[in-house]
Amino acid sequence: MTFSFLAALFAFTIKTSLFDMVGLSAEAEASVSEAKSTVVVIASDESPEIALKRAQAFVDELPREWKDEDAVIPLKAERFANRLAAEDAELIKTAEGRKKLAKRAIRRYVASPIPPLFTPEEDPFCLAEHVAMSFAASTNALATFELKAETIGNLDRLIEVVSAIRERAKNAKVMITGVPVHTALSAASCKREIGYLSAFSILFIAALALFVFRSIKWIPLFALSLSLSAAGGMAALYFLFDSVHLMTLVFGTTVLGLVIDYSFHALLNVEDRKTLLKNLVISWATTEISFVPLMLTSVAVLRQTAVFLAVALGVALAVVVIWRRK
Amino acid sequence: MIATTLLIASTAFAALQQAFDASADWKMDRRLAGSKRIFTTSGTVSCKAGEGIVWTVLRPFESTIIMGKEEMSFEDEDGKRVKPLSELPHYAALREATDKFVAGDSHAFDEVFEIEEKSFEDGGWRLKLTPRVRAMKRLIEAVEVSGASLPTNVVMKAGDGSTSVIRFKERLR
Repeated sequence: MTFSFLAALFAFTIKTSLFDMVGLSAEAEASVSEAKSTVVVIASDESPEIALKRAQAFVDELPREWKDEDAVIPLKAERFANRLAAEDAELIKTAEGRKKLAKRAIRRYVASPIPPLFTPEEDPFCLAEHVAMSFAASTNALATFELKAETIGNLDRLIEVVSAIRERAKNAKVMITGVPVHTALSAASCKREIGYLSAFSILFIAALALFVFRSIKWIPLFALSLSLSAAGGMAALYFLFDSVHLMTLVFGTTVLGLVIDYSFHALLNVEDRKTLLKNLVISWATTEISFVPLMLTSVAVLRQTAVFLAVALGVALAVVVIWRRK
Repeated sequence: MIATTLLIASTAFAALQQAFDASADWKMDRRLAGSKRIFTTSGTVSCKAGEGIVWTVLRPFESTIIMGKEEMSFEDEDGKRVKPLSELPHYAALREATDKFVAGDSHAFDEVFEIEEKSFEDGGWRLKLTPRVRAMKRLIEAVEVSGASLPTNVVMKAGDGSTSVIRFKERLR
């Protein structure tokens, strides 16, 4: 809740896809930009024609405001005929194995009572038949379309549209997949988790504080420390990054436990201020050092998390130091 | 359906039923799609009602294919390889229909094949079986079985254009 509020306050562009989590170069970004908006529809039937029609009908029936009409990609049928059985995949690696496969293929082609599924030209070692026969009862037809740019750019809208498409897919007996689908599902899940984790952490901290202090004197320091450190971390993200990944905010919930640690020390060690501050600074410095390697990684979400936590901890320490000057 | 019903009343029905519980020598000429060459193989076939078909190749090499109730096995100089019928849906469908047919269900093949029958004055008959399931047509486009008291000739055309002609000669058990 706090994070959602702060994220809204800082007007972040929140990214959610796997590509964004890793962080891509400009060149790689260009090559995957289409995948970020493409939804794949899979329909199965023993007849390729029916499978194709079903996939096409599904795409056609989707409301226009969801899909980019210019980016509906032609359908194709996939018969799974080019995959190897596990045993064959091992045999083909060695000369001896290939010899065995060649002999088996001759037997299959000339002496089996059941005609071969492929010609020797199509499948010289007779490798595809086992797999093709396993799948012969169904052909998978694929259709792809791109979601509109404004849907991809708006997380709440993306979750809403993908949920509706998934519901329709159940009724139409087709499956949907693709980066937008995974993005919407993981984003919805992340949002829930941020809420649960934050609520659980705050409740647990409050219960622990009540048990330890037997009063409510901790509330002002805890509230100040939490809100300012979260705001500090968010501000650092806002100024250092163009956008923030949703997973950063999920990892960021760990800040609750980290920053509250300083507040506990501040309230418990009432008598010896100098020693307390010295201990807290050493503790803070060692923790900060552990974030440095993460800040240097190429994985965007790790860099963002490290920056967020490092700054938040710094702010939490500053709050405690100022509090103890009173 | 009319053709099928006629079939059941004909000698072809009795001959086919008997064939699924008999042994025979066979000789097969197969011409693969895109090839003019004909490959000839020969061997024995043994059918036992309710159990399965053992297809043994004797020449030009030895191997055995057993189409059992639950699995299909291939045996040659490399040893035995077993494939469950659950992984071979079309063979499983054929197997199920065959069992029903042998047990006396005259309509067992109705769902799998369209059947046309032709009878001859000398007591001979010929059946043409065309798969109803579209996906199976790649495997078998049409099968013609002909014979008299027992089936003696089978001509199979595959979807890719290959043809197989099998001639049977009954063996005494």
